[in-house]
Amino acid sequence: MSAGADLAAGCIASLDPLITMTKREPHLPMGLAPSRPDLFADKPGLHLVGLTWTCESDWLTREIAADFARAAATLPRATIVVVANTQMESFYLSRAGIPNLFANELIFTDERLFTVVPRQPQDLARFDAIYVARLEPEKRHELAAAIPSLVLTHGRPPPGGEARVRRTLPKARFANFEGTGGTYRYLEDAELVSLMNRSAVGLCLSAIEGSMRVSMEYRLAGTPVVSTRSVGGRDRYFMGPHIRVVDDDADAVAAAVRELKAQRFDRQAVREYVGQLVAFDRQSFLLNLNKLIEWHLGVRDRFRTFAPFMSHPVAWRSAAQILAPLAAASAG
Amino acid sequence: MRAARFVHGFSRARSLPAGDQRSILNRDSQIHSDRAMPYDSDHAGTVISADPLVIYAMHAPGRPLGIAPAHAAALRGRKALLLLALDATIEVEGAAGELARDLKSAQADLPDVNVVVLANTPFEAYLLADLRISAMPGSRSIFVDESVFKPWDGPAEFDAVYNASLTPANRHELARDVTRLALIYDRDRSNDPNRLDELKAKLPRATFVNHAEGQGAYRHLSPEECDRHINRARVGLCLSRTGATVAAMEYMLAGLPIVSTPSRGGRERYLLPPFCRLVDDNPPAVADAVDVFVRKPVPKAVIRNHALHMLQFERTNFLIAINNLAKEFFGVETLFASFAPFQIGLISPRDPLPMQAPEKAAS
Repeated sequence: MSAGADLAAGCIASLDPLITMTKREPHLPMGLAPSRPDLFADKPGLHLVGLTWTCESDWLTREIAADFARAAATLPRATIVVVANTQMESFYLSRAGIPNLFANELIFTDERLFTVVPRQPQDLARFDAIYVARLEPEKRHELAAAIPSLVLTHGRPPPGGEARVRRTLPKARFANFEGTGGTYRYLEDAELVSLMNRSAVGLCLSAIEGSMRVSMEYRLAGTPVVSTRSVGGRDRYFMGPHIRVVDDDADAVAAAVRELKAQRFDRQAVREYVGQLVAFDRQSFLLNLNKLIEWHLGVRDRFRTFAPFMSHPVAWRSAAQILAPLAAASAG
Repeated sequence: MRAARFVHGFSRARSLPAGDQRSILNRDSQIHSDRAMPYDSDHAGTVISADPLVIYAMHAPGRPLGIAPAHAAALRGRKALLLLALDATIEVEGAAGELARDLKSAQADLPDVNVVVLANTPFEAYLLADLRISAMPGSRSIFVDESVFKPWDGPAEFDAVYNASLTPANRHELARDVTRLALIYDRDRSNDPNRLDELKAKLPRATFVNHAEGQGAYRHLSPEECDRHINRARVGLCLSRTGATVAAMEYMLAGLPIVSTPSRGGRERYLLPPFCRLVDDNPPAVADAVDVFVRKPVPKAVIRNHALHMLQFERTNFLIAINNLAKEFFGVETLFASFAPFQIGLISPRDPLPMQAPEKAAS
């Protein structure tokens, strides 16, 4: 997902010492802090920068290296650290001399939002699969063509995007356009979670992107996943009986959906399985972030819980909302 | 920016004269198979793949590239990937810089060898990236052999076991208040010949297993024997301040909960509640935590399954990363279809090792 020009993903996790975590976007190449030297240039602090798109290649890493150098010059008193979604990204970044901390951003998915809904009204439709993905070619919706019962949800489509995917998937339900007289409607989180809970499988069909938040949201909602092979980080949590990784082939995708649907997994077990992995990585993130803070800012065990990071690093808000704690502190 | 240091920083051992290097190489303790075959240049790594050539080696002071220089002739002009594990943590002031200097110097002699450091923690990888050293997280603990370390049935006679060489860094004194204590250790790892006597005086109730098994003389224990003795206790101890401390994974695979002091360097990643209790650096705190597990034991199978789940997760992702590295350096897709090539004793390679493989592969 890419943000609009006025939006950013992230949070100010701590004011003392100053710790921010925001995402790399086209208009914010090193996150929010370097874009506001008026607020941050005179302050020592640690600025973590999440990756919206994978950097698993030398040319992508070179771009980040240039952006990093500019940001470091803009904020000379700060420490800027890129957050790598995969061990391989950590390798590429290290080879380029870009300070990085490995922590897959899927650990920031909020399990309080994405939950198992035990009892769904009987009159609501059920689906073999759900695909939550922008209507962009890179999402490869055509790989879902052989699934009999499919529901799609997505952000506001680009020009021609809806028509293109409707031609490819004529039987699919477009949840964002249902009951609206043909206009796009944004789905609230609860509606999305309901759809996930009424789908036997969640789909991840892109070949390359970032870590793909929905790959984690599906499973926290108890929905098994069929994915193609991918670059970007979503495969970190692809283990266990609830996952199938298949070739880039519509029949292979449909067969895997049928197989997982037939197994009728206990949704709570799906959620708990991946939840254990997330808990493990969250602990590691806190341990290593605390080391980083102690190393650079001299404060020991700054974060004892994950709470300051829950959800915010992967949720888009206005920059003003993200910066509000800083403004409040200045005003106070 | 390097404004602050760790509040509890430690100086790292510098390179020692050649005669002292063996003990330094062995100082990371607790590693079962070292007891069978102390490190030397022929036992510090192995060939994982002959074609393309992938080598796993252990860095140590005085031997920055592990086994690689011993086979320099075979490696020159031959593209190779060297996965370099760290024998001691670099999460201490100055250590990463020292490692970086060593690596850059050593790599000058082996220009065709691509070295990637397997950092025991993401923070170690961060420190290396800051110095433009190719690195990725890859903990040594994932190489522990779960077919060797496993639960045994039967009553436990000890409250706690501590599997650690008898060096001061391992702080055996913190186990002073544990009533029934078993110690497993490596004779060769202590620089101080009086350390054993000193510890016997400080821990008069402890059973020094290696000497008990040797009727008073030190006897080496095989990994399988280590596992059996670990299973004679209810709790495993980790009391050093630093290190990957592979013994922590061995304890958990054997079904033992862990009492640990705060640490850095790798083991902390695996010390999750409710199977681990982190305590302050004092003997009553250690003993109290042991007592909690003794009074309310956790089923061994539960702890082992937890450890296996973590291992599977780590190994799956390690394999993804290593295959991506192989693709990057050799253009080969899915060089390793399973973790099996890495389950050959990489914690500290054992005899016999295929150390002639680089030459064979080169020819």
